[in-house]
Amino acid sequence: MTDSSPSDTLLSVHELRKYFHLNSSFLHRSGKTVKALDGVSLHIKPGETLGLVGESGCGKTTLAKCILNIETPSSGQILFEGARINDLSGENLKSLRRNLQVIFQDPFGSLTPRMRVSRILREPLDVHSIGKSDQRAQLVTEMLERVGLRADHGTRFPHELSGGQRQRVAIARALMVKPRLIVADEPVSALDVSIQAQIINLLVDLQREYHLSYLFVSHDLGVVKYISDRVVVMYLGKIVEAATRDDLFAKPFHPYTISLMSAIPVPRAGGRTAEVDVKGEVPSPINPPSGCPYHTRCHKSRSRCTTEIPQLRQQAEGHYAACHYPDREVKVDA
Amino acid sequence: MLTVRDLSVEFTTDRGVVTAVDRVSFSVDKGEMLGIVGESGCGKSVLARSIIRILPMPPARIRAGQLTLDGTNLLDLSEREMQKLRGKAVTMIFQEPMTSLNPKFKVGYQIAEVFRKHFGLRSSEAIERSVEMLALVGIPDPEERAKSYPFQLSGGMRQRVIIAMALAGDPQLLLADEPTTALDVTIQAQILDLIREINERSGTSMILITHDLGVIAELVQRVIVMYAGQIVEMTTTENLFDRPLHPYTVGLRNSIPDIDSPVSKYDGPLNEIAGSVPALDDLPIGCYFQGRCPKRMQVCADRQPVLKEVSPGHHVRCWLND
Repeated sequence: MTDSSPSDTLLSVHELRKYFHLNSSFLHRSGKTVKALDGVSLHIKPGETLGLVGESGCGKTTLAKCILNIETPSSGQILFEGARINDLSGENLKSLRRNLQVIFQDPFGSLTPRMRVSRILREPLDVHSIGKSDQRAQLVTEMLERVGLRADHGTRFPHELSGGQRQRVAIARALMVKPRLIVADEPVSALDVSIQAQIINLLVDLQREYHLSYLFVSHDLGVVKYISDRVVVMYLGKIVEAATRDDLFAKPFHPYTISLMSAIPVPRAGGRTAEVDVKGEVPSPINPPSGCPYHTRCHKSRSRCTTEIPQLRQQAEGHYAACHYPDREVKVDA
Repeated sequence: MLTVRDLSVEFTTDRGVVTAVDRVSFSVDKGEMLGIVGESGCGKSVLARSIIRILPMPPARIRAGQLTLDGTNLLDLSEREMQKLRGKAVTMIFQEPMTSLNPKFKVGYQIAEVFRKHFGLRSSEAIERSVEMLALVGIPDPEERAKSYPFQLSGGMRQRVIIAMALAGDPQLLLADEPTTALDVTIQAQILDLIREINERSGTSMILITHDLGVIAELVQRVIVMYAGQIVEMTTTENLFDRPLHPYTVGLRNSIPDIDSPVSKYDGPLNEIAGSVPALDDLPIGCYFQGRCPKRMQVCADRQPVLKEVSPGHHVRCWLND
């Protein structure tokens, strides 16, 4: 998760940094920098789901964009099947694009509104020259049925479908080219509760069938807990905790992770049992706090936290957290 | 306090008249927090908007047997009288705080407007009161913040400003439509705490509209579950989670991956509710949920069940409980 990534890694990210320079204008002479990603390292193995959790502004979307090669990182490396994705060109880049697909939160915004569904699904086959041209219609029909739609849905336009059906089309489109990794950015957040479970179940089934890896970006810890094998928690451009799904939810070390978990409203008579101990709001990434980025909201913050940035350290076997005082038992007065 | 009887809202569309809210009856007691839960298109937001009459009419048409707030018949009021009531006796807060605030005015001024308009206070006094309101909703350094424009505030702070504005008129009834849906979870928890605190302190009655059963569990004492414009279940929050009766309520509760549950993808699929919500212009004869219901019987396709009180305070619309 940190420095060493196993040899059977599909995707690995090393010390990734993405800085955005705010434009200097004649009014603001000092151009400021937003550190959207500040030294992020992680890896994903074949067939595995890595959950990526954090609140707005934590950098999770920037990370997803860098992995998808939409944003160019300021420094650091992203390796897909051992190759640096930023160095790829020509056929190799095309092959990367085929192996790495994406599903967005809002399928309405990501499906071309004036194309019928069958054409939306056929296009990736044409681009990547998959199948003989007379077979492609058949592949489209098979995929429609695989994601729980009917063949006649192919004749519809995206606006004629429900939200859940549109997300099924987006999933089908990603799968047409038989990718190895799918970046799923909040794929069920815009869906109704009764539809969310359908889509999650579909994603899990497809993962088994196609041996897919997912980078599953979500703010919903319940969904992340269900679907993930490992989980990474981000805060202000840094990974603050990383562990297997079981370890993270059983014994979180970082105070932010603990607060995040206690803040979720629980659908049960009586609601949450734990008090929420997270103070204030996420600081502006333009002007992040000194020391630990979380110290302004942390109930355990001490003077060391205000000056020294905690490194991501192994707290237990395979369980990493970036906190000076990760001991969960000791409560420290402010 | 609020009594609603046989309230229906119809919309005229180019494909005919659809019924978005279908003969809904309920009441809210003084100081009570009532939740309305349902998915998109179930009619929950239209219902709230019809109570304070902010629906565009036409195409909307409201009919009701009774709609009274503290003895005042809301249906009899002229638009001018209704305007006086809105922002004072009854107020509403919406999901996206950015669109409920005027981007061109400082937030303190916008809250002060309530005091000027509804209470006739002078500007300086009104501003003073608005700073008090900002302090009340937990905004740090309220005097300075009152001078901020909406874009200078975070989402959580903007929602606090909206709540301050809604409370400025000291309303008897506050309608909140997905008040925390656009917020991050740690901020959501803070706003939910604030709403609970305000309810306990001021005794303001509230109707909370949400799709999130977790938020329901946090805040309200009684819940209405809506489906395709109808109330399908109405009961206490405790019953809703521990003894749900309608198959739709049961399905909703079971389909949510719960952070407290150890279940993972390796333990089997999540419970699904099959299919999707029917279109309002294409509703079946009989029960509207029949197409998705795992307990469907012949009678469900033939006749529509009525909302019945099956035990004190527990109402359900289902042939299983007939």
